[in-house]
Amino acid sequence: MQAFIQNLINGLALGGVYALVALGYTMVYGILQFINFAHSEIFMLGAFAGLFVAVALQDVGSTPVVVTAVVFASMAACMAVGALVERLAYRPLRSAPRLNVLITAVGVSLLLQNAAQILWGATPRVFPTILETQPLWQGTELVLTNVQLIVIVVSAVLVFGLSILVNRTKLGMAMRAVSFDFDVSSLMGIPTDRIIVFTFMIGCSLAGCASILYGISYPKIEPMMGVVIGMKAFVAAVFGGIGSLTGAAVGGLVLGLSESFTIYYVSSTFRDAIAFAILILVLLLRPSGLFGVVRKEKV
Amino acid sequence: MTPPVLEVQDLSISFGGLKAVAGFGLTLRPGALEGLIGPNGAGKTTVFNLLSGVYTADSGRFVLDGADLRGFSAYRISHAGIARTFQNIRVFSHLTVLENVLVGFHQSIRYGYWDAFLLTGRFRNDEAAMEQQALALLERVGLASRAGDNARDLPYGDQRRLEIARALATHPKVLLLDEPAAGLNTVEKEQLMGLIAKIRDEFKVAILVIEHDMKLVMGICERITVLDHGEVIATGTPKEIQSNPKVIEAYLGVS
Repeated sequence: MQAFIQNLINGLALGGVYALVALGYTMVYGILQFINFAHSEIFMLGAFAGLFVAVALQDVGSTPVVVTAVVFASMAACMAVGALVERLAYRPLRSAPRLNVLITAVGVSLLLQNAAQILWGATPRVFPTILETQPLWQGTELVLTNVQLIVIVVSAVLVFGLSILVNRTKLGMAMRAVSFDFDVSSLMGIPTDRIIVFTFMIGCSLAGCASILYGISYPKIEPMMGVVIGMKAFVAAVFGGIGSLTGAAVGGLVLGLSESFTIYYVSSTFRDAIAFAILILVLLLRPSGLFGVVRKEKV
Repeated sequence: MTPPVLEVQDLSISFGGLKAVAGFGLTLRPGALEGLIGPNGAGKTTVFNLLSGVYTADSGRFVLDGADLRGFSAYRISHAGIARTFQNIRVFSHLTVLENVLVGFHQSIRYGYWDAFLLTGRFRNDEAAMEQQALALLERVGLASRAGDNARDLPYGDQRRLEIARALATHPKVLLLDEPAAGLNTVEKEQLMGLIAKIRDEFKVAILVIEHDMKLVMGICERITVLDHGEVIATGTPKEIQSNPKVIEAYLGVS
């Protein structure tokens, strides 16, 4: 029983990170109907930004100050890069076919990977210990660490905050309106370009926060680190129903949990294989994902 | 005489070799209720698309309260004070009725992004005030009782009225209604036209309406502009229009 709970905790902590990244994919898809493949590189850049700030603040003793500074620096860096990518790479293609934008996204992703390799080298770096891992609660087979608790709580708070922003505020309403009908939204006085940049920035800031949570738990930072996480988060978003915020959050958690249980009960070698098999099975039964709605093509 | 709120001069646009609208002109005074009619394909909806910023005119100008808006993007034209509805209804069908109207209030937001993030008092006051105003608009078009329903669940006629409420939420000086009565039965049509006339009085907004039903247009519009093959062929009171030989020719053809 304790082992089960342990895996539940591990899975939630991992799933929380997936969920935050998955939200970025799903938000951009919801509003522009394309997969922003560069999102995984935003995650990677966030980790590097956090790394540099953490190194710079090494002499500051206070843990809460450093952690907060690192998280906010990473989120801010990701927002800036996200806004820039949208402005320079995606906006000029606004009325181009979706496929063109998709290919551009792949290009931006490669560009950022290679730029990071040129700037910082391909050798993995160690993310500084900005937060000492300590057990908060210990049973015979069960440990809940402060890091795990922070990851779970922060992810939950961000997901909750995002859902309030999207569902309760006029900003979120504008985002939903734009995602439904671009032209009519602008005719109703919504500055669609601004709303789109804003959507990118929110999604990217979540990826930035996720990268720090991930860096604290798995302190290895390198230019290709976004690829696997990004792919898993993307799958989580599709699994949950791309375009649906609830779907991305739940999809991330399910993926994290299935990985952690597979590692314990089956084999760590098969963790990705089995996790993905579950996803494929769900998609066979529900092609639009768990919370996805079948969208009729607009004529 | 009061100065016009909207003055359109010589507005033209071509698609490829086709002159869709050529030299279109129109003057709307504050609180006017005028009609735009013409046979199918005459370019009526294209005129609306030009005036609302969906298309940018090749030449000409349209001046709203002293500012030439040609070349402005759709959202800035909306901010300037021109709002419209659509011939084929385009409500946000997955949003609630209330939310549809709230979308129209977007430009009235005064709080910034940080207010929204930090849930400041200003943010909450603004949100609450706008919801009140949106409900008042729904009340006005008779949809208050359905505020919480999804827009797609409304009957056709109600969706048309919802579009009008949404357009009014942008605080327009000029309201463009594209065939608001299309697909309605006779009773609904008369109610709607009554509503339009009342809205004009209450909101002090100038209204330009495209409508096929002659009886309706003649009944409520003070002046009518007739369009054929992209060009204005007549302007005048309903009476003048009815007896204008060019109009009769455009509608019935020459024998």
